[in-house]
Amino acid sequence: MAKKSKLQIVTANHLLEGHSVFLSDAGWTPEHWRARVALGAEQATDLEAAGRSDEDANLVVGVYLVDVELDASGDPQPTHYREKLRVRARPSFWPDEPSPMRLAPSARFSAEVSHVSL
Amino acid sequence: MYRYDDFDYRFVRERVSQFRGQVERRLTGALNEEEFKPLRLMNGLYLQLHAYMLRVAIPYGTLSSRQMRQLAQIAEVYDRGYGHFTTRQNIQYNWPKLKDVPDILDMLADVEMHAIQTSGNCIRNVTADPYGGVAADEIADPRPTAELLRQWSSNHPEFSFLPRKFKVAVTGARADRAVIKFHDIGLRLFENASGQRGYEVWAGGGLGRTPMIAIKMRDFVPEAELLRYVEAIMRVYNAEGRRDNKYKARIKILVHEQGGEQFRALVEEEFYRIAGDEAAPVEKELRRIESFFQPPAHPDLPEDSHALAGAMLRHPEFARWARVNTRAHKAAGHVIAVISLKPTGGAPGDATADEMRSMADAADAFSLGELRVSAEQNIVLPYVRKDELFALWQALDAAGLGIANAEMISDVVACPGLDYCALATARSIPIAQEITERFAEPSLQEKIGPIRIKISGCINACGHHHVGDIGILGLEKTGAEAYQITLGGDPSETAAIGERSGPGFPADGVVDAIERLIHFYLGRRSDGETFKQTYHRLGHDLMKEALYAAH
Repeated sequence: MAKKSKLQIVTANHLLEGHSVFLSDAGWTPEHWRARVALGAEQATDLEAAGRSDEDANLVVGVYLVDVELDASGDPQPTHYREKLRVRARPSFWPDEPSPMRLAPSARFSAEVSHVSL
Repeated sequence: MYRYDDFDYRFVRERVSQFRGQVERRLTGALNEEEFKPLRLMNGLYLQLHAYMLRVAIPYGTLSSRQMRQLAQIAEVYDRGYGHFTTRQNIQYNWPKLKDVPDILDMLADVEMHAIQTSGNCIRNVTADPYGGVAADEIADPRPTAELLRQWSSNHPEFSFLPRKFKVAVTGARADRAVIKFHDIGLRLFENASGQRGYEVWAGGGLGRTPMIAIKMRDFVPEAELLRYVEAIMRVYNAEGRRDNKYKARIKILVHEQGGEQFRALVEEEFYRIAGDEAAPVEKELRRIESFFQPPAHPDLPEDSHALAGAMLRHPEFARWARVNTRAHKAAGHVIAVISLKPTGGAPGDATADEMRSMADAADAFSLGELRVSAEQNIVLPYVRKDELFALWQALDAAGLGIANAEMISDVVACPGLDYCALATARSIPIAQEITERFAEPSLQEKIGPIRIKISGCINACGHHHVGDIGILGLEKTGAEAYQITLGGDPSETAAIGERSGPGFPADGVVDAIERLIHFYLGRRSDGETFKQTYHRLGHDLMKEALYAAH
């Protein structure tokens, strides 16, 4: 049986604000489920390179790939517990509710983040 | 308390101004992250799992009420309304934004505080016995020495790029509450048989991935020669310490690879090579610094307080807090009071802005406006009159801070772990929360007696798990969090590194294991024995078996 290709997304921290962000078709977003999913090593390399170019452009810092799987809605969800904690954007012992950051990303953040075409 | 002089003020303000410029250049892209990272770390700014983290130095854990209020204000304005007091007597803010950090540093400078040398390969914030100047068992106050070392090590050009970070701790008491044998340099201030003041010097101790107990360098270094001797240690380390492997770069590795005898000989050689007679300036500076730490004019009080005895009879909850959370004071009619930051189900060491203000108010009303931070992540009020202890407890209790568990089983020390830290391999805080909930019953806690549970979320050991009676180390095992338990650790003058008990436990099994061990201890201890005493009497293997019984 052919080996299943790995699914990955790219994450980083927002340079100015510090919170974790994920690279989507519309640029960087704090919402991991909107992240663009790379299928296989080649797409992952391209996706990571796109992330790094935004690091060079001083938008984000600390770019890396995260293994994911797709949930029932087709959204990417991290497979490792560390990244599951990271996408919560808050300590695990805080109530599980959308953070204000997720509900209303700052206008400045949105304006600064450029669209990344892949 | 020590007050900044003109030089201190100017130096700290200049550093804030420099960092403001560095942040601006980072945001315009004139500095890339590789260039900026060492600069932000020199100012205590880390990038963690969810956000930036700013570590603020609290030299030798001493704070004025004014400083505590400013920490509260920063938490409220620039963070999410709380801060985390650490095992190294610092405070960490978990959510600052890069653009705000220069303003935060300016607010700190307003109250004689900063975040300099709370990171990087330099001499870090000097720590000391949190009961310095007031403990009944104290021989000499460690704070002037800690302040001398703070000034000497701040921006020291020769020691700003060491092989690795360097930590110094000072005590002046018989009981070691500063954990000196697990520091790069540990100093015990005392008076020798001829009444001369000086230091027993230890070096090469540490926790982290390679825990080691320090070796004694000298039985006695006269206080006038302290800086020269410390400088000799630093020079040998700076020259000989490994720079090829960061995991072998701490002084403990050098000391133990070379062997104590050779390391001591190198230090002695360097000590005698350092030219000049510094004795007079050091003594003069120490006397100047000591003038800031003169004991307050305590009223002449009887040792026993009728008011306290009466309140303890009338209010059992207060009586429990007074028994558990106070320590003997050197002045008659006074106690040292510990404010626990370990509520049931809370995050160890965290305090909200409101709680910080309540503690500042309590310090003003009952402790001459002064507070201390302890290595147990609690806050200490050093000057409390026994007559006023009940009123203090009422004020604390009204603020949710009257928790009676100092050094008890629910006084769990824990690093931030994977809930915040980018280096962590497992969470610490939820385990601590479960322990405090499992053993919440106050009478059970008193029955169990003093015990230290310490949790680290990775092998870097910020939660000091190696020196817990029960140490818990969070690791990753086959893609899940696992917790390894060590037993028999001891941070005090009878220092010991905890011994591993066996295979780790899953997150949902670790507190059950601890409960089995505690029940075993309660069933097997002799009258009046502490957990530590029972452990040493029964031995590691029997206690270990209890952990794994029915597992």
